[in-house]
Amino acid sequence: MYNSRTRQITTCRPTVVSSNNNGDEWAQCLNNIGASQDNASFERIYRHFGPRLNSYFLRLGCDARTAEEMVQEAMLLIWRRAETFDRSKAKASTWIFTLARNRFIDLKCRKAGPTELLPADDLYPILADEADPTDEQVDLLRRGGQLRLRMKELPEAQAEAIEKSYFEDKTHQEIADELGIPVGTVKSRLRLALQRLNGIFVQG
Amino acid sequence: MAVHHPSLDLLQAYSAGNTHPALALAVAAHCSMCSLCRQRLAQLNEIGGTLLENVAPVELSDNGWQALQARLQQPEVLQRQQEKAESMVEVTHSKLPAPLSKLMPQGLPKKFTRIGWSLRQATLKTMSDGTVIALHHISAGGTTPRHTHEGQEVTLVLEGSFSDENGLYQPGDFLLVDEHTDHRPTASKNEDCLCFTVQLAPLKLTGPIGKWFNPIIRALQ
Repeated sequence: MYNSRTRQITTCRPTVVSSNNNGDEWAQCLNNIGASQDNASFERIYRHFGPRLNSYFLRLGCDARTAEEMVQEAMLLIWRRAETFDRSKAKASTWIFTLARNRFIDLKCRKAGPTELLPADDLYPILADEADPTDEQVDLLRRGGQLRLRMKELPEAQAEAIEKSYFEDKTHQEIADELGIPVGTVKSRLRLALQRLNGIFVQG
Repeated sequence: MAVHHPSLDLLQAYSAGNTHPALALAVAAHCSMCSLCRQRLAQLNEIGGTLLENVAPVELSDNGWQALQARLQQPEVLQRQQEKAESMVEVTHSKLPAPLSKLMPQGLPKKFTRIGWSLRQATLKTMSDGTVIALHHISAGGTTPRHTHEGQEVTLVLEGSFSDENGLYQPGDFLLVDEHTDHRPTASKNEDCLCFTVQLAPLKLTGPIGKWFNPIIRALQ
């Protein structure tokens, strides 16, 4: 917006209210489960995230039956681990994503044979910081809603790369092969997307 | 505080869950020593969480909730206390980064095998695809044979420090080299250097003396 008095252009920032409330809502549910094994909160989490996790596992290539079984496994772990969820460090959906992602990694390993190295929760641990949340963490949580908006505004090619990486379990090379483009192009699309989404500092 | 970090590309792939398990372990170990990368990883994981919120839901079968309720009554689910203890990772007060202590529950291996004048190796795990997970120990002031790599190799400094053509590497520093790198790490003069390494393909020595060690390294693997 152009301000004629100061002769300066100010950017207009949309404020997102609803998604921030949602974040709090699910975090509260997890806290309730952790504190008092609150089954009503657990059911709300199940009704909301169950079908989304189902979608996630299907996109990753699970058949319908396996996907439902994986949702059950993930839900049981949400129930068991809700106590460890720290709402000052991560959004509920992010915590649930990492938990579900690790179930899928374990499934992949099981298909290949007995676990060779370590279970996914040891290779992809939630590293607990005992310290108080940093300014960046607080900022990250506050920006949760914005990230959701920006995801929808990503150019198609960048959104495609992000989705194939996170939701189709494809390496950068596999994405390149599938799209018939050099792997360097995939990496630069991903970096541009990360820059837009999070403003993550891009190193050389 | 670490100065050399995993690339953003690697952290992103790790966050999405599609890195080689051995590489994932090295990234996890680095992150446990580096608050900057923990921060970046939190941001990357948040993308996964946001995708999960945005994805078009696919309905579950009608009896899913009942089935889940029945499973909640099973004894395995009731062990909540224990679960908590396991998922909390001790980052400080431990000589080994928490993710590595899972691989070495007894602590550091006692036996290292000499593979050069000042270089010793303890192999922790050889995976079925040939990937070797190991600890390398360089004596203070010692130099490893000049070598290139047939594949990617990750080095994470645990104690002491070493330097090569590209800089100084101290505890927590993460170095990933590939077949295009020809380097000659040298440990700092005042202290031995202990590194965690992942070799995604066998090493190849190129120096005049180093060539002699190739059969030995192959034999170790």
